[in-house]
Amino acid sequence: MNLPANRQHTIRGLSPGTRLGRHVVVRRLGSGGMAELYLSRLDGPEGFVKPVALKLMHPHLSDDAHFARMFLKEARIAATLEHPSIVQVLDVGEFGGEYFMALEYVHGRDLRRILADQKGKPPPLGCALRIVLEIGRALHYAHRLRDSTGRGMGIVHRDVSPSNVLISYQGAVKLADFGVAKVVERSTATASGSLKGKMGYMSPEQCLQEHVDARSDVFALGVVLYETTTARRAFRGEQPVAVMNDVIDGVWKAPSELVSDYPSRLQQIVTRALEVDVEKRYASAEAMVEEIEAFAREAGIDTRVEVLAEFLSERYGQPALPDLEVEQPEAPQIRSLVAEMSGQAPIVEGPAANPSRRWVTGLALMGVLALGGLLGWQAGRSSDDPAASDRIDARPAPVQDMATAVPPNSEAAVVEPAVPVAVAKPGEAQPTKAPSVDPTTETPTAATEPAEAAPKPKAKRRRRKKKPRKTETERAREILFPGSP
Amino acid sequence: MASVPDDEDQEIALLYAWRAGDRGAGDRLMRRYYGRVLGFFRLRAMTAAEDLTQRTFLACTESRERLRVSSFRAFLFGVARNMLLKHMEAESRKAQTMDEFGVGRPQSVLSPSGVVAQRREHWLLLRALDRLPDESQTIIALFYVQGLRAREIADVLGMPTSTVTTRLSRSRDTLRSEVEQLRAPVEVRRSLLSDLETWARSLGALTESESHPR
Repeated sequence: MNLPANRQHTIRGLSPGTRLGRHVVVRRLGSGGMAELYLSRLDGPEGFVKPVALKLMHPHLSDDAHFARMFLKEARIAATLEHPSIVQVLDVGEFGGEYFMALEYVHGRDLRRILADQKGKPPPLGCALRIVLEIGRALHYAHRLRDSTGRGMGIVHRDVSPSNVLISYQGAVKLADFGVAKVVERSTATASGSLKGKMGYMSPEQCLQEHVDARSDVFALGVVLYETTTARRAFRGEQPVAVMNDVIDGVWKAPSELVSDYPSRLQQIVTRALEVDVEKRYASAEAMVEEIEAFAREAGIDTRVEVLAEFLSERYGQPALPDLEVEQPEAPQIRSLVAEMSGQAPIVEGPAANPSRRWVTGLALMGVLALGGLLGWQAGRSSDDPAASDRIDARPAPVQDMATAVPPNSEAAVVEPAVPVAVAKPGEAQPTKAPSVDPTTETPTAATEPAEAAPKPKAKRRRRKKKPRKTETERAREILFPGSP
Repeated sequence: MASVPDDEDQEIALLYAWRAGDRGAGDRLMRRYYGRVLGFFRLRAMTAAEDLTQRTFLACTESRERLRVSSFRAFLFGVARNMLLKHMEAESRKAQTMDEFGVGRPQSVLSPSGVVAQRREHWLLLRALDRLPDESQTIIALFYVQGLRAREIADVLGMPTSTVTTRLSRSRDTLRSEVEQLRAPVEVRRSLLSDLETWARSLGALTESESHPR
């Protein structure tokens, strides 16, 4: 790939300890079609640390203005959304020419994994309904959102599917990935638009590339309801067009054929949500939510959060929160848009707090984190691709524009930082020998022992001006919607 | 796209050289046909297309028998066709025995390995094709998308050329009536039917365009 040298590092992935604004990369979680996902941590005062999910756009895509726009659009739409059941955007910035987004970290699993772990056995009905109700409420909130002038924004998610539904071990349900969400009003030319979303969850009108509105999400929610209550996909097949034909023709197996005592009222709800004709479908996600609530009430089904939490704890125990400790080997200079906007630029970051901390191998013992949904398309693909892990982990990613740099003749100085590669999966490659210094990224400066005791930054960190503290969301908004109150 | 007879003789010579251990010869054939074979599979077995393509080329070298077909590509697509049939058989067996859940991931149409059809006419055409019997799909794919001659298709399917001609015309009629019956926006249907054959030919570029030979 012919990218300028200062961007080579992001191709190989970010090594643990890389700092992006106020975020420090802990380890890589996976890769999606559009972005790479990292577990990272947000450092606050007094040793306060908080896990965040960092989504870094693939370098080869940020060259493409179209994808960069798409990425920023996702951030922009997602940042307007503030709902307990929607994954929150915390920060947006740029690193070495690539955009990144910091997202709320959900300690749990995505629904696709949970259903796959069920191996064809539906979860308890109360849990399934809880999940669908929560997504339904989140969707309804997004659908009816209005802008500052009071006009409806017409947001449609367009990609509601189990891999975009994250469920925390505490039972919180969060809808992720507004990457293909659409603001209906702004795009009148739906006819020429390309297909977006996942086959088998897209509504008939989406498949036909006709006008799409909130009722398309109702359809997808119906598919999710079907899937969580039967543990079977409503529409599946090897060939996308075959699936598409079934969706458009409304060909699916009645849940009662799959689950012996499937409640007939619930089947009616599924049927109405999956109506091919939009006019016959529920007019809103709220209407569907209300019917599910009424059904649950009458059937005496407990849909409280505790039911879901208990199910997850029986299934998965109480997995510990991810270990966020990581050695601080590198201190790259980055441009945080948020920081700039809030008057802190240019920031030349020193090592993150507490540089003497040792990285902890305990990371390797952690369970696989469920953040697949945040990866967007092709979620989880990287775990099947050992070559990709090799590329990422086999050598350190030298960071450009570092405030501290590496002595040219000291390989160890570069190697040390690379060692704490947190490996979550046994298949991932650990560096076995000292990787060589990449001549294109090597920076001849005389700093020593960057690993053990991270050196002081050459440039002084600029004193933060006394300013009323803003919340992360407020600051993210500032860069996404410049000029708005 | 259509190769002249000289090319065809040369390709057969390349195949024999490849079988005899000349990797350069194999490389030339692969470069020439990888995308097209991949495109052939993508039309029918999206998720397994890469794998089937690689297996097809592997099978080309493994077979030792003399070619009894009119061209290398007739031989190649014959191998591909057998691969596809075997694959589809295995898939239908799997669908009957295995639980439906967890088999494969939901397809994303934006997936780099997928056919990214931007035109609605293409989607309608693909949907109509999907409804045709297997043999009709193959004949249309080979004739329009791959640009094979009737004689070559006869080699692939092991039937007389005259039969291919008859079935091709019948398949085209069925395709047309499928397009007429499928639910689709009027303007898209009209546009597709106004020049069905050109749209069918343009599928070739579409299925190959996103190819990533490894």
